[in-house]
Amino acid sequence: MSTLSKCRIEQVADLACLSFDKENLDLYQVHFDRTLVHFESLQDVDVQGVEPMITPHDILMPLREDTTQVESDREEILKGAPEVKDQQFKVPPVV
Amino acid sequence: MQISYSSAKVLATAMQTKKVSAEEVCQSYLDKIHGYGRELNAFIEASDKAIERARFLDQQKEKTGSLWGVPVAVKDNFCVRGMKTTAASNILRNFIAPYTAHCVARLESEGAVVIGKTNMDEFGMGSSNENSIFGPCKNPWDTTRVSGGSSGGSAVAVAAQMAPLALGSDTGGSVRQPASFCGVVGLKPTYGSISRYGLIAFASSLDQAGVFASNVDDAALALDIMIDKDPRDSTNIPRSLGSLRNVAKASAKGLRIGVPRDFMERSLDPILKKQIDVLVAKLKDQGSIIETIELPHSSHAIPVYYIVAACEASSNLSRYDGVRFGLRKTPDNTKDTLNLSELYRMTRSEGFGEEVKRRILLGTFALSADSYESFYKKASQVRRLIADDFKSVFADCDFIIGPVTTGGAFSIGEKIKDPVSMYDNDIFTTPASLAGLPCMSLPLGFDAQSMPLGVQIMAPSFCDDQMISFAKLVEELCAFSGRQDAR
Amino acid sequence: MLDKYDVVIGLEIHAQMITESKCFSAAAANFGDSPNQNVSFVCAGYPGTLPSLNKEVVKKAVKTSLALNCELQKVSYFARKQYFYPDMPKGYQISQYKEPVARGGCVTFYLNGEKKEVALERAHIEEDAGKSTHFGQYTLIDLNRAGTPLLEIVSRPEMSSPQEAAAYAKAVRQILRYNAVCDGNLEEGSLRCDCNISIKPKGQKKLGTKVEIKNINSFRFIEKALEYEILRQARSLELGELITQETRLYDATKNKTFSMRKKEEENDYRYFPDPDLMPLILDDDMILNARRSLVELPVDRLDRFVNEFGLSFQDAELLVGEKELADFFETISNKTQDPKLSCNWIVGEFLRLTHERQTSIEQRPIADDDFAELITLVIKKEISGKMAKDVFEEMWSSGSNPKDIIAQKGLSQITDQATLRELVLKVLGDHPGKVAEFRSGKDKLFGFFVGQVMKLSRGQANPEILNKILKECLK
Ligand SMILES: [Mg+2]
Ligand SMILES: [Zn+2]
Repeated sequence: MSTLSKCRIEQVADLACLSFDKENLDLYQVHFDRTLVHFESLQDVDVQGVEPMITPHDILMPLREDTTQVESDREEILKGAPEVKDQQFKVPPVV
Repeated sequence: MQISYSSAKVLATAMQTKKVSAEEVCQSYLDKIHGYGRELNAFIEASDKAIERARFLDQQKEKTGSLWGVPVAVKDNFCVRGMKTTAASNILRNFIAPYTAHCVARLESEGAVVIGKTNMDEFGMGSSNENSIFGPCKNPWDTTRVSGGSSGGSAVAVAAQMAPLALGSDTGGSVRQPASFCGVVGLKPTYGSISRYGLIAFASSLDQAGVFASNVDDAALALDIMIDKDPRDSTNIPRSLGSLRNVAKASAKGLRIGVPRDFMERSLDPILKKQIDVLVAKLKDQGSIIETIELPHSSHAIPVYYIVAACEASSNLSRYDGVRFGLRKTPDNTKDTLNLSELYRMTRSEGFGEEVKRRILLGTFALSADSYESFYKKASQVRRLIADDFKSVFADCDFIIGPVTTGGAFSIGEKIKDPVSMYDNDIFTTPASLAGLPCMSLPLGFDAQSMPLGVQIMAPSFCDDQMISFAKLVEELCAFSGRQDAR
Repeated sequence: MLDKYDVVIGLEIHAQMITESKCFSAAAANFGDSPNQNVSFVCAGYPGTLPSLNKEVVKKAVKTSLALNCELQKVSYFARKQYFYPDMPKGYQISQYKEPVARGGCVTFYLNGEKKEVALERAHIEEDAGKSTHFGQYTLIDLNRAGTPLLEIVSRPEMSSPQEAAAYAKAVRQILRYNAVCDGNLEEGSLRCDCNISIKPKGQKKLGTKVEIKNINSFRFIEKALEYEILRQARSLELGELITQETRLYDATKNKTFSMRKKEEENDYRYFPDPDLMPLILDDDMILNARRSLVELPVDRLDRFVNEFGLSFQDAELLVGEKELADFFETISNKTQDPKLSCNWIVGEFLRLTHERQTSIEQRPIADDDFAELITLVIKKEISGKMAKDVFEEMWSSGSNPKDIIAQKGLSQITDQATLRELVLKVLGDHPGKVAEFRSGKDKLFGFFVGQVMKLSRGQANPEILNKILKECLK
């Protein structure tokens, strides 16, 4: 389970929309490998038939009544945006 | 009256009966924040509206509210409308929250005054408060040492009397560990007790708001106010507890107390071990039944916690993309040739700190198609085994008592270069987090360097009231009185 | 070339469920408004916000699943499907992955008069994304649609022609509309069909490589896109090429499909259970209530119209096309107690005028009672069919009651025997020569006399009674 190739780390970084320069990538790889080695003991635990625990308590999920509520206006939603045009969020071209 | 060392309860009464004005109280705390507080770096921002609000409270005829005029320091990952809410991250450096977190609104509804936003590890990821764009928060007992984290600023705010109460959040020990390092009471209730609405998410299934106070009663009061049904948080548990105010101190007689063997056999600071042994002996003397217990799967708590938390964090932090709020990073002059994917990459790479990026990578990796089964799923399965261990222990025990950390606060810079050894700090706090248990850190004593040490108590889920009553007993037995030396 | 291949088609239909508020936030689910008008902090993925599930979404999903004969899952889970796109604010879509709210199920429909059944894989709840508008140098994001509830209905890959796929999609749409779950507008995107298609040499067991086609916004285009794709794949196979597993987009103006992304380029979505939501547990009451609120399936109604009312398949199919029309027919037919004549009137005059005046069934300007009364007058022969059509048009424009129109225009039939006898005698008296010819055996002249009486009565003579009297007088 230990040691990930740099290529795999780059793949993962790509999925996470993060980029690293060469030097940083080396450091991350070292940390990553050490972490995985450190976590290796986990693989020996017998979990046959154990239901994964997603959240601590089994409670009934409350369902919201279908009514609308206005908590903010458009101005407030757009106020924090880095770039706005025609009352929309503006981003660079997708490709 | 002496404002600094008064409990929140006493302060509120004093202001309600006009012995002292809310403005005076507020100003006295603000002076400390702006005075010696600067060096401690516990606050990211002191509120410029606090005095205004205190004056407003002074003008009210009806002064009802159990935290009337009481200044509360709020960790900077809770949204407070109109205030900068940064989670100590560059990506939210200029983010002004447009709404107030549910639990903060609850405190305000009882008359509390938000006095400022406190320093923390970025997005709650860290155990030393060194992962902050605002720099490390310093331990008031020794400013060369860490405050602990991630809620370091809130712990320091209470320890150094810059606020009688402080709000923190605990994901894997982020309230208990800094409370222990700073010599204050840190309380994390049962997972789901306090609505997470408005708490900037780190790991959804672990995050829980908690409180710092100088005494158990104040912590219980704040908790009582904040535990409130909020339909906006689907994981919010229905309240089954009675009032947490004026909970009677438990009687030691007949209490069944478990001491985890594995915790005590780790490489603990011998002084800490001794002090826990002394406390346990006192309880035994008073008639408690002490049992050495086994939590066999808790030895895996670190990998389980770091994998689960990293997975959830990698997902929760995807929303920081430079589109709707927060930082957007573009190259300085080639703005027009930038494409969206470059924008995402630049923004996120510049916006997140090293530790946050490490955990996003770890989580992204652990959830990817090839690793899901052996990492995320496996960790979630072992998580259940850890929780089941607690269930069987609590069949025979009322409470568990043990260390919070392996020792007192370490030096700033000592562990930050080695993330893996930093992770190991959380060995005693992550098991209860994974199981969702209520737990506390209480001031216990001091180590050889005169740094505070804490003791951890854990209770079964939904038994926060009983934990508080037990905490009052422990508080009395420890008779920790060093608070005033912190400054 | 094409008859050498078997075609295997499966459909993924995304239906926007009609609700007041969004799937996980209390913002209005009304994306037609001006940009970012209906966006809450939750919709915009603000720090600290959390999802809370809309009860109505669950109710509608349960109701639809029942209508689709699915097996409801008492416990289902929400997961996060993760990828970065600016119209998806959180960086993930909340969807149901491994454990959907409904499994199995089937849709029954007619294809060219023959009954077909398509089995379903599953149905699940998820949230919609916002809208991106691309302008070359930049893209604008409107989040009004972000968080709108969707039900994704996934069929098994078991349709064998583009026509069958289109008919299936129409049937699903009809069921959704009948149950008021979704308005089913493909053009506006409230219903979206993605088609999976593969072909394989006839008789081969192993399925061919699957291609997904997106961006199809009409039933006609489902057929056209699939037809194009079958041809494209068959040509490739003929040339010995391999089909690549990929997602393609349909371009209606060019009637072609284009590769959007290959399988290898597909994101690793890193699905995992959403820790912000608890499992969705369906309680028996909710299921029972949903079952009670179900309406008769369109295909069952069609069969009933044919079998019980004796309507032709074509008429019945037309009537059940829209629930409002089928309801209208049943209302009128109940009042008149003559389903066939009611059907003829609705399919004929009523729909003709509805189209001509560009109105809808719901906006019809005539009252059901008036319409039924008109048909009843025809049944009672108080008015001829031809006259009734004029009256109907008058009803449509004036909104008046048929009897009033008839009285006002003096259109009612003359059924009074004495009056008719008078008219007959007058005509016979005016044409003594023709009467003599008739009596000497020229039977054909009977029609001439009928015509003359009709003319004299300005068309109001009741033909049957007139015939009888005329015969008597000519004896
Ligand atoms: Mg799909
Ligand atoms: Zn979908």
